[in-house]
Amino acid sequence: MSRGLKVSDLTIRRKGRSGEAAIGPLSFQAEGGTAVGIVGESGSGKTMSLRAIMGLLPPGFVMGGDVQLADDAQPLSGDEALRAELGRRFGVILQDPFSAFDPLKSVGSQIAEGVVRRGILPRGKALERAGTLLAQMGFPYVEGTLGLFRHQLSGGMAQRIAIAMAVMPNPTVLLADEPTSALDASLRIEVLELLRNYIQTNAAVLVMVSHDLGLIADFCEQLIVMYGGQVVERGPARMLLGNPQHPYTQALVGCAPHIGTEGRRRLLSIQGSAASPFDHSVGCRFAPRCPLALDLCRSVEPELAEVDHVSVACHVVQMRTEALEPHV
Amino acid sequence: MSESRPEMVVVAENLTRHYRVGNQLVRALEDVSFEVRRGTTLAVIGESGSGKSTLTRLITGLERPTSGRILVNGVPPMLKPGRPASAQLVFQDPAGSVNPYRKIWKSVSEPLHHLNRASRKQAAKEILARVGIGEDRLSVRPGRLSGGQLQRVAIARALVTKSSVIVCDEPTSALDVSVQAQILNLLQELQEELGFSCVFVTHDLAVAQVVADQVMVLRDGRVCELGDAPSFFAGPRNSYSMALLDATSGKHGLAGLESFATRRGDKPA
Repeated sequence: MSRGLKVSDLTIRRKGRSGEAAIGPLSFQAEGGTAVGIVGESGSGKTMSLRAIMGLLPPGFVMGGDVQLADDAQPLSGDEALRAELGRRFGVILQDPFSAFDPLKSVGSQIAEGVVRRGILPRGKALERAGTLLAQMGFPYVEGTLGLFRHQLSGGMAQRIAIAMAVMPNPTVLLADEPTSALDASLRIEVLELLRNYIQTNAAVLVMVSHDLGLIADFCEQLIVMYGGQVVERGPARMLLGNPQHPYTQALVGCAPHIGTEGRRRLLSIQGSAASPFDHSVGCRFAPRCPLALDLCRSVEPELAEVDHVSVACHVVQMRTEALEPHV
Repeated sequence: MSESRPEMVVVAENLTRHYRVGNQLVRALEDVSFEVRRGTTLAVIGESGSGKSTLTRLITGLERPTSGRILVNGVPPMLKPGRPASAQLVFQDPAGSVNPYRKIWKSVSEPLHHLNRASRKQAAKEILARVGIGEDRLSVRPGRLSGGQLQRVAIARALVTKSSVIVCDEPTSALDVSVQAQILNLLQELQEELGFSCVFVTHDLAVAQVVADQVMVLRDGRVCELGDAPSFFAGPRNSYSMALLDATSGKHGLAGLESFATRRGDKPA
């Protein structure tokens, strides 16, 4: 592949703690022009995993595993090497677009600032590119928009400008943490169209964290479902959401409201609270909330195994599949 | 009108709210009329800037209309010192809506300041138990609770006054799908048990379908469509409502999407 991203056995553990990692291992490979979605409840480790790829783990945490860009012969080793790629080959889009702006600087100078400071473009060229990107993002009056300040932006404008800022250095990888959760349904589509257009035109990879399953099904080629810090299911997004195997993925899909023929109704819900990756005992982390849990689930942690074209970490699903396989 | 129809708990007639920003007149809400029947839910849907939040402030008495009128239980909602508001609000951000330094029971019982301490604590304990927050959490501070638990606390605070109208402003948009499902189910259970009416503001049509008896679509401060929820979701009449419904995620793949602006009939800038 010409451009792409490979993440191998990414783990996160507290500094000084040995033994099993709190988050991970997370592995995936994505080709340029495609998107990977990571879903899960709050505290499932999805944002921490994204921060690890950026090299921005909070103090007290250490990352293991490799992150490799397809252009490189070697993986990027360590936090510093990853951080050095931010604003160069890694672009970042945050959940709250306003947090990306300095209230005292104009939109134009902020979009240009990153590439100018890193010596990627001179200021004049940077402002020219900022104008081109804003026009692509649907701003009709580019000059006027470049002179705006944070308080003059609506949520949709701010998120589109934040995307322009992220793609200024023409990154190979876009890392987005809930990029549309603060937006209306209409703006959400506009923002997703912009992201799709960027990754396809530039053969870039988008890694997107979200709890909106519909959005992931629509937008991402690959889906990773995380629970309590671990990957419980992984595979092609539409296939996985169309026929979820893991009891947790099934429950998530059941919880999500969708426009249907039924009217006012109760939704399925998952009883109990989500497990924290940092106070885990033994066995499957979903077992205390799982309606199918066996004694084995409470004592032995399941590993990812191939079931029906997706990878699932569930003893019950794996046993059921083995029972259905023809014996030779 | 409402005086002779007590089953209508909220009545808005030609409700209009304008703001003056510098030399500009902002028409936040223009000629909006609707009614909410006792024990039912009206979902208010619209994009940012459509007037949804202005409407919540008018129903709860935080602001007064420029013209037209809004009645809650037959009287205009007015905030009076020492008395709980006739309509209570549940906000979008559960963490931002409670005092981080105050014990949970004190935040919940805040609207009951006309009662003595023991009565306030008892009332808070009862309503918190009803929303699934146990006695062991009465004296903890908000930092010890999850987002879902905090939204339960916010709902308890809205219900502790036995208000007949609850206004929910995007109450689940900051929550995970699993917690969202718990909160939406809880609101419906409580409504069936306590019989309050609900004005539920959301930009998520899938959520609106789960809770609504009636749907009102706002655009630029005006009512685009108002009707029974089943008829609305079976086939909205207004082209803007249709575009909103189509824009709901999960309805179709991105490959098939046209620009939303084209579908809703916007003129090019």
